[in-house]
Amino acid sequence: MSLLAEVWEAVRAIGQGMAAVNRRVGESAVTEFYPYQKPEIPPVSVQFLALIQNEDGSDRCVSCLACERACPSQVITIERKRNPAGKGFVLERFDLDFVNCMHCANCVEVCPVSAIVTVGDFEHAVYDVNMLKADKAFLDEIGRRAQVWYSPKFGVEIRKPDGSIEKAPPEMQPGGLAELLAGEEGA
Amino acid sequence: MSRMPLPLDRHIKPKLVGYDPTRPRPGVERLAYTLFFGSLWALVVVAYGLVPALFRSQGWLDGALGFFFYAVIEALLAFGIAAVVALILIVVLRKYLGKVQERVGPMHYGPAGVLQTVFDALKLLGKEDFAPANVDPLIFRLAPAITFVSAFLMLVAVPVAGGWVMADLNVGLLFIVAASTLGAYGVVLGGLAQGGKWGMLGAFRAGAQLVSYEVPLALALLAVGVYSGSLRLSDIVEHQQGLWHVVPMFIPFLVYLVASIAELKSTPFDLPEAESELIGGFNTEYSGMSFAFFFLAEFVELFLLPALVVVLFFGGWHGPLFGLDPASFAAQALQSFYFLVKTAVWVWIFMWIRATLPRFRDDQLMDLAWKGLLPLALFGLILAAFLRMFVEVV
Amino acid sequence: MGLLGSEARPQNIIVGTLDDVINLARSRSLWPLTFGIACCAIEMMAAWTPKVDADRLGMFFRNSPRQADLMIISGTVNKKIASRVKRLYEQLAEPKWVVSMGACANQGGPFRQGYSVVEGVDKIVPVDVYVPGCPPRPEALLQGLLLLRDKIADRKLRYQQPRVALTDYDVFAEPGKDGRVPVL
Repeated sequence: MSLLAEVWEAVRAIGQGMAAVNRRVGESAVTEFYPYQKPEIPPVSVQFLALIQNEDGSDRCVSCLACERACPSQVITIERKRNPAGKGFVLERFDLDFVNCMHCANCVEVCPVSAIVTVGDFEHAVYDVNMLKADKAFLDEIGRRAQVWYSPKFGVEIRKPDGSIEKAPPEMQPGGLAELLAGEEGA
Repeated sequence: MSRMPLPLDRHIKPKLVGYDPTRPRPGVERLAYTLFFGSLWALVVVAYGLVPALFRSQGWLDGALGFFFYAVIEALLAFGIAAVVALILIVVLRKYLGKVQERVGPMHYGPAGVLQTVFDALKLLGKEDFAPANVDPLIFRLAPAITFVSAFLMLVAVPVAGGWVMADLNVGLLFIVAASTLGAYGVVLGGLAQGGKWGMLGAFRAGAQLVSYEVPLALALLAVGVYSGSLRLSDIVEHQQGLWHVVPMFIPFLVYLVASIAELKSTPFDLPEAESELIGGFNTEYSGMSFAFFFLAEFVELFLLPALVVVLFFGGWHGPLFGLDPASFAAQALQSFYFLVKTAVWVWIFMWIRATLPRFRDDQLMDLAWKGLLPLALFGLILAAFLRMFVEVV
Repeated sequence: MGLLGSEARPQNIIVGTLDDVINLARSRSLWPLTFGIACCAIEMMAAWTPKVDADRLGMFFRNSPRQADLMIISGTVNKKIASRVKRLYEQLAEPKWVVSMGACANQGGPFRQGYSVVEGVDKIVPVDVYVPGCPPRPEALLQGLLLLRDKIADRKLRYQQPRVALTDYDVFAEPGKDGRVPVL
């Protein structure tokens, strides 16, 4: 009788599996139709980097070279010169080699003025690899186009329809890094 | 350092072409499947009903020339049926597997993705048909043709309605067994001729599996033949007028079901082409149209083996005729409709099994064939003989 | 760049139209080769999971290079695997395309000055589409595949065949043995 019991066990297991499969058919698909529906990606997830300009069109970047030093892949090249008008430096060249960038966002973390930020923009595939070598104009363009971005110092910021930049409401802020840094500053 | 001026706007967005699934268009998918089924039915009615009726009524079949043209036209129509069946079943299988896995399957090309297989077929047509250096060129080219022809031959003997059959052979069952065995030759020869280790392993597995499962399959068919007293498929269907064979012949039915899935080389019996182990097994080195013929044969068999389940065990074309004269054209068309509906249900069950079960191990496969199915099939054969002798359920 | 391969463009209207139809079919049924190298391969697999489901767009993996149209280089190409990548590319049946996925495959990424790394897969095989990211998310890979689809279907872009990038050293050799010695 052990043979019959074994056969029955096998038949029962197969039946259970097939019933489970059939239940799946009725359930709705979880698929997002990518080119037609874009996924909502929070800017905290590092997809791309951008340079942010102030509301009056001047650079936020103060050419402190912190990002260039912090970059583990050594893809940031900054050239600067002394500001003839006053103190500080003027940015002459800011190249970011996105081909080799490993998207670690170390540059974003060390930036003292939140000039380089992460954006949730991910559609950057190209036919020619040299197109990915970004210069300052391109990074500024991504920054101008971005509506929402993130840096640990200022948290998530949004661009209003009238062009002014504001800190995003708390429900848009990430729970982790920004509050941690804010707590450190407070202490 | 001089730098090439690069365009500021380097975002290249893919074009939005094809069917947009986010726009709600209810019923498009259902309409597409209805059209699929309708076109297949129309093709069957033309191939099995209209053309033979036309040739018989005009008396063209008496002359040699008329018979030649009849044969050519029927062969073309049968090829058309095979192609349409494969085109439909590939996209239906992909959609069904998608549904099982909570995704959507082919979606964007054609309404609800129904043109996907057309694009696949056109692409394979334009693909390089490559033969590696150390293949046996003749057998390498012949093997896909053998496999496809074997699937194609089975189509000839299947009756779709009363009197609607391309060749009503008096040894139909033997013909079916012979044709499906021919398919095993194509697979084994194709695997061995390509001179690679994956193909060789696939051919060994295919040989072991297909030959082993041929035995219980043939015995199950023989049981049906013994019980119904004829090897002619039309007679077997006629014999099921009162009671479908699945009730008295339940054991041969089970054996046939398992063995035909093994003949089909689909999961859980896909060892010959085990993609995760043998990178395609016997069709590793085939590309372009040669590969397409293997693909086509597989899906034609996915239609024909369920069709044989229906013919042998589920009453073939039998169904309520609503008082129509069984010899009339309308009744025969209705019968072919019943046949196709039953076949569609069984194709769905085959796909369901394919979507559920994981792959067997080699020794489990052999155990099942020789220790499980063969005794069961012999028992079924004896049972059929006893039923035939003592019960006479006709 | 536009001049490259323009001689191959068919002048005949009928042949040109047939060419368009076949290339439309090719662009709609891209079957990639099951070939993953490193961490990008995880994201490549994720592009075929139910959430993204590249099967919607007619793409599914073929295990044999003879039946695949497309190779997704997903990860760091080391000197050891470079010859295999090259061989697999040569085993693909024509017509064939290559998508380079992630920073390492594009130009070596963070490992580009390492002694064992090929600085970009375009030193070995011609690459059609570059997907940046480390790794790119599945939708980003899908965007790259859709760009490839548009390239195949487009008359102007189709004939711009990519070339293997020229190097002054042996890509496959070890550093010090004709392979370039990295300067840090």
